[in-house]
Parts: sequence; structure tokens; C-alpha cells
Amino acid sequence: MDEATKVRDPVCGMEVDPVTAPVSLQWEGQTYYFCCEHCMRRFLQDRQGK
Amino acid sequence: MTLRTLVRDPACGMEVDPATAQYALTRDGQTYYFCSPTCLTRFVTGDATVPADRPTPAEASPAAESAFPALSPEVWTVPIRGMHCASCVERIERTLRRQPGVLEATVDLARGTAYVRVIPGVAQRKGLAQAIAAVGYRVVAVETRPVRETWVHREYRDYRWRFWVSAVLTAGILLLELPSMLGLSMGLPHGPWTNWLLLVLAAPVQFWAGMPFLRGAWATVRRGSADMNTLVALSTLTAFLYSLAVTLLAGTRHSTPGTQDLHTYFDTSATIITLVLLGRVLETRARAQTGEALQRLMTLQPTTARVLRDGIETEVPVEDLRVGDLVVLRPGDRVPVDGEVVEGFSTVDESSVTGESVPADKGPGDRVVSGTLNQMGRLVFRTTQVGEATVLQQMIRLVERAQASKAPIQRLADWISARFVPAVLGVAVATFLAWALWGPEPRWVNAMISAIAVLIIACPCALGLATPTAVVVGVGRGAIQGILVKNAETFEKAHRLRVIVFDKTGTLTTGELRVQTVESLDPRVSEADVLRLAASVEQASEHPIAQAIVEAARERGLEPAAVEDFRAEPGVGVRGIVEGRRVVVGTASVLEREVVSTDIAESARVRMEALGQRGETPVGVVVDGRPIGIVTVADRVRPEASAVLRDLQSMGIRTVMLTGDISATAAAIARELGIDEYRARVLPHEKAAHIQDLQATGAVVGMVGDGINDAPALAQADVGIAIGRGTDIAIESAEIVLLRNDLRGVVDAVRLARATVRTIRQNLFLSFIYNVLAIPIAAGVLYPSLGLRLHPSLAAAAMAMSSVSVVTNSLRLHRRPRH
Repeated sequence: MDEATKVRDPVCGMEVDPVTAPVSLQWEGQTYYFCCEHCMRRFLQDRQGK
Repeated sequence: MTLRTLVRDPACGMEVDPATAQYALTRDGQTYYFCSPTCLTRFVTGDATVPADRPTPAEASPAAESAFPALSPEVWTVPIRGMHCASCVERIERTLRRQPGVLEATVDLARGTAYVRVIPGVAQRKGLAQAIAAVGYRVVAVETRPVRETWVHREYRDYRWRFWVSAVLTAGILLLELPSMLGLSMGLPHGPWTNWLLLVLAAPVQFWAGMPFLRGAWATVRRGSADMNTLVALSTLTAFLYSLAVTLLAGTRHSTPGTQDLHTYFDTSATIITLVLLGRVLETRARAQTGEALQRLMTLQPTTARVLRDGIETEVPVEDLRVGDLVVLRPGDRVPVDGEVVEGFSTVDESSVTGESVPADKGPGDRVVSGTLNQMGRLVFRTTQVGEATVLQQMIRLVERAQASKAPIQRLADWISARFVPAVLGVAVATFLAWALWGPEPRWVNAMISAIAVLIIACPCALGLATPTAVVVGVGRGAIQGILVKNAETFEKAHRLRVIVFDKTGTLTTGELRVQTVESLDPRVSEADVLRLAASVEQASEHPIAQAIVEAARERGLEPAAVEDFRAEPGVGVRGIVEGRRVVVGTASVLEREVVSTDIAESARVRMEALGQRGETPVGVVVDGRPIGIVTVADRVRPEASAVLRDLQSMGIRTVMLTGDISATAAAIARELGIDEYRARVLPHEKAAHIQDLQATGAVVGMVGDGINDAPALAQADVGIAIGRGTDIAIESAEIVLLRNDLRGVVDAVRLARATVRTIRQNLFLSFIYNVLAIPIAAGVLYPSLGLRLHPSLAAAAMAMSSVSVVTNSLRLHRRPRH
């Protein structure tokens, strides 16, 4: 699998493989992949704060 | 057609289509779908695990089936410390209702407990506790099961200890003050050192014994409100700090001139605290007593049971019992769970559950109910219901919920008292100013004392206790008599009942059909033959009339013959070939059709009609086209029925009977029972409409039924009363469930409702009138004309007594004799 298929964790900026990402979220129709539970929670907190 | 697959939102339980879901979370290979971002956030930030008792979202079900069970909310019990006043109730309820996953919250002041209906998995125990703590109360624990020991007991012990210490110190203070109070110069001279001594005695009273008030007041101040703690703390602190200032200024060698003559008021602050504590002691003790019925129920279930496995008896915890286990009861054992006897004979005292005092005989096939007491023999029973499903546990839950429920009248009391305290503070300020401007000298001191008296007398605690204590005692009293009242509102509705509708079958009657008469229409056929032939055909039928005929034949030692070619026409009759003859058994219309000669058919029909007039149901027996006899069956009227109807009528309640019978039959029964009104030929599904008719006249209508085929009518009625068979407690449609299969419970229930409502009204009157009268006196309205004032200590005593009198009045409900 080459680098191009990887996506960026919107919170920590790490690159994540969508296939093996431990946590992913569908939010307003968009899919986000996270490196870990922690980043996902941060993401949610930010959304909530909006 | 494509089957859409829906999954459930794990936060709210709603069904979501994964194909169109905007919000989803994938974690550890599992995907959860949500209806909204709020649910997603809630799910993540709350309990991050799916509760084990629910299917995981991955177990999708086809939309066509919509197989998700309704998400059943749980009721959590939250003992809260620091609530003393109705003012707190509204605030805590509001706070709880704002928490995620909370559907409903009611606070029971009398038991120091909040009951919260929640969606499990969404509501967080910790979240609830924190929310309550944030508004200034202490949460003992959040119990997902009802608590067994009431918190009130421990609170009572705490107050008692504080009270005794406070009382001893206050007695010392009063002894020192006595001479100067009486204006005597003898005894201890009142000098600067006396004030110091008084201070030493008064400080622990103020700051240790009075700590609950100070802590409570501080909590209210922080959130910018006020309650009775505020009143007590403000008044005692004022007296104490003023006295402290006097002591400091006058008590030193270089005292400020003019302060020597100033009096201290340590006695006032200490007496108030001691008396308010006494009020709390009496009140918490009485509150603990109001919960007794429930505690009694809780003690009925033994903690262990003897299980028979492979012929060996082993003692296991009740929680480990499973449906189908064989449980052994020795004489004197309480039945741990519900079940059916498989072996042994005994009598069982069911009074603790049904209120029925005559012990019931039990043998194989009979049901035993959890919480009842096995008396003489050894019984082995197979469990049918365990854990939360048992009759006893259902009763406990029901009673607990009912006791915590709010009577509509209480919402008014809560609303008033929540606004009462701020108003009182206003009155106190006004009093202070009035005395300071126009009062006698020393003006400032008099102003202070009068303001203190107002603050103390105006405590709305009696108001807050008025309704809940009466409800708790009323519900408890009902439970002891085998009358389960589902909620407090029921009392208010039942007390206004003007019409009570009875379902005939199974309610006014025992519900068991029995053969009344057997007549032969043909001189060549004996009555025994009529019955035997009828029974031969009817033995193949399940109809109650058929069973009654077969039973009657058996009782008379008649052996039914074999039947061939059996056919049943529902609602009309049955037919078959018996001993080579064509036998038809059925209603008058069957007769007309089957009988060849119209003359004979006509005379048989006339005879059947005549029998029908007596309130019995006639069944014709036709053999080979000739009517040979008539069998009548009737439902026996309950022995207590007419006495119950008379009692209700004497209480001003109109009684109405609903029945599927023809008019003649209905009229006969109505006459026999002395019922006011009847409606005949009512089909089961029409019962609710009849109730509606009666309600349209403006009457509050009650309905008594068995809760099985009359559920819509029970639900339609203002008060549905189900006569239980001692088993189905949670009959949803009924507000009142009678555990004893006895109509007298209806009269008892109405009496209980009336007594409870009367008590609530007395209590509200007691607490209102007390505040209304006492506040102006405390403020000094009578001073200019009569020179009458209310000393703060007296105000404290009066306040304590008002709470106690309200609680005592409620407890009186318990002692009221049965009839």
C-alpha cells in the first residue's frame, strides 16, 4: 500500500491508513480517521464548542 | 422490494438507517450509527461502552420486522443529603431533568431521595452526582437498584447526637442567664467574665451543632438563592456575632464606654439551634417511620433459598435462583421467589402480600408467591419467576415509585415554598427597618431580635412535608392491605370518584360458570340423560359453558360417552354424534333451526326465555331434531358483592354494571345485587366507550375489572382498579391493583384515598395557617396595640412543632382503623 492512500488525522496531523485506523467518524456525511480514541474525543469537543 | 436494514442509535435507542446516517463511529472494528451529532457526542463522552443488556449496533435487524425491543427506561435511586426544605426539591429536580438521558426526576423530601427515570447507557451515574453536588447537595450514592436502608435513619442519628450536645450547652447558657432574665440581682453577677463564659458555651452550639444549617446556607448563598437553612443561619449568626461584638468591646479592661450595659444574645442563638435541631430529630424520626411499609416489604424476601439439585438440598443466594429450579420450603420458611408447587401439602400465610388473613391451602399445581410464609408442611416448588420479575420485587418497585410520585397538589406547595423564603427575607428586612425607625429603645437591638423572630418562624419546612409524608404513609398503608396504588395522583382522583363501573364477569361474579338447573322436556328422557348427552358433546369444547356442563356431569357421577363428528359454531353451539344419535347443544336460535316441529321448538324457546329472565344462561339440548332438555348455567355472584355495592352507594358513589348478557339476565343480576344501573349486551371492545359516555356527563369515573380483557376500559377510566389474581401486579392499565381477590378492596381503596387526601389538606392548612398567622406576630404587628412580641426562642419552638405536627398527622393515617 503506498503513501497516497493514507489520510491525515484532523486533530494531531498524523498520517493514518483508513483501512487500519483504530477509530473513524462519520460527521455530517464526511469521514474522518483518527490515530487514537483521544484524537477523536478532541475532535468532538471542538465540534461541540462551535 | 429491498429490505432496508436499520440499526439502533446506541445513545437514544432510535432506529437509524446506516445507508443514510450522517453520523457514525467506527471503533475496534465495530460501527455505531447515530441519529444526530448530539447522540454521537453523548455516546463518546459518556459511557463509552455499549451496555451488555442491549444488542450491539452490529446486530442489525430488518426494518420489516422492526424487532428492537422498546428501550426500557430504568429508575435510579439517588439518596441526597442536605435537603431539608421544599425549596430544594424544585431545584434538584430541575437540575436532574437537564442531565443527558434523564426522562423524569422526582425528589422525595420525606425520604431524602431522588428517583430518576433514565435511559440506561446515556445517563451517567457520575454525571448525576456531580450535577447535584454542583448545586450544593451531597449525593450518597446513585443506586441503580432501590436502596434497602433509608438514608433518613442515619440522618436521624446524626441530628440526635448534635441535639443532645447542643441541649446540654444551651442549658448551661440559660442557667447563667436566668438571674438576669428574671431581673434578680442575686446569684451570679452578670459581668464581663459571664459573657466570656457564655461565648465558650455558645460557640460549639453555633459552629458544631449548627453546622448542618451553616453548610446548607452556604450552599444556597453560593448559587444565589435561599432556603430554610439560610433563615436559620442568618438569624443565629446575627445574634451570635452581635453578642460576640458586645463581649469583645465590653469585656476588655479598656472597654468602649457605654458597652458595659449592653446585653448579649448568646442564649437566643443557642436556643434557636437546639430547638431547630429538636425539630429535625423528631422530623427525621417520623420520616423514617413513614417508610416503614416499604421496609417491611423489603424484609419479606429471604436472602437464601434451599435448592433441590440431583436429590440434594443446597442453600444458595436468592440471586442465583433460575427459572425452573426446584426450591424446598420447610415449615416457617418464607417463599423466596414465585413458583408452582410440585410436591407436598401445606398452608401458606399470604397476608403479607395480599392482605388476606386466612391462610391458603397449597398442594401440587398451586402457585406460591414470593414473600408469603409457609406454615405447616414441607413444600417443593418449581420457580416460575425470579429476580426482579417476582411479585414481591414488583410490589417493592411499585410502592417505592408510588411513594415518590407527586400529587398534583404538591406542585403548588413546592412552587409556593420556593418563592417563600426570598419573600420572608424581604419581610425580615422590613421588620428590622420598622423597629429601627419607630421601635422602643434600644431600637437597633429590638429591630434585630424582631427580624430574627421573623426569619425563624417563617421556615417553610412544614409546607414541604405536608404532601409527601401523607402520600408515603397512604401508599404504605395500602400496600399492607393488599391495595397497590400506582401513584399519588390516583389518591386525588379516587377521592373525587362519583361513579364506579364494574365489569360483571369475574368482577361482580366469581367468573366460574356452574350448572344451575337441568330440565327435561321429554318425559321419556331423565334429567341425568339430558346432562350426560350434553356433556358428551361438550367435552370436546373449550368454552366455559361447555366446561361447566362437563364438570356438573362429573360431579353427578355421569360418564360422558364418546363423541364423533364434533363441530363447534362459535357463539351458537356445538354438535356431534353420540351413541349414534345426532346431538346439538346450543342457544335458542339453534333450537329453532334444528327442531323439526315448530310447535315444540316454540314451547322450548318460551321455556328457555323464562329461565333466562332469572339471570341464568339457558342451553338447549336437541337429539335427532327433538328438544329433550334445557341446561342453565350461571356465574356465581361474589358473596361480598352486594355489601360492597351498598357501601359504595352510602359513600355517594353511583354503581354501574357492564355485561355482555342480554337485558333480562342483566336486569335479574342487577336486582339481586342492588346495583344502580346496568348496561347489557356490551361487547368487550365497547366497554371503554361506555366509560367515555359516563365521563362525558362530567363525573369522575372508576372502573373495576380483572385487567385482562377490559384493559382499554381500565385505562379510559379516571381510576382503573384491577382485581388481581395476586400475580399480575404490573397491570399497566390500572391505577390501583387489588392483590386480594376480594371486592371489598374497592371500598378500602376509596376510603384510603379519601383519608389520604383529607390528611394532605389538613397538613397544608396546618402549615399555611401557621405561617400566615405567625409571621405578622413575629414582625411585631401586635406590639403597638397589645405589647405582644414573639421571642425568637419561642419562634424556634413553634417552628419545630409545626413540622412535627404535620408528620404526626400523616402517621395518623396508618393508625386509622380499617373500617
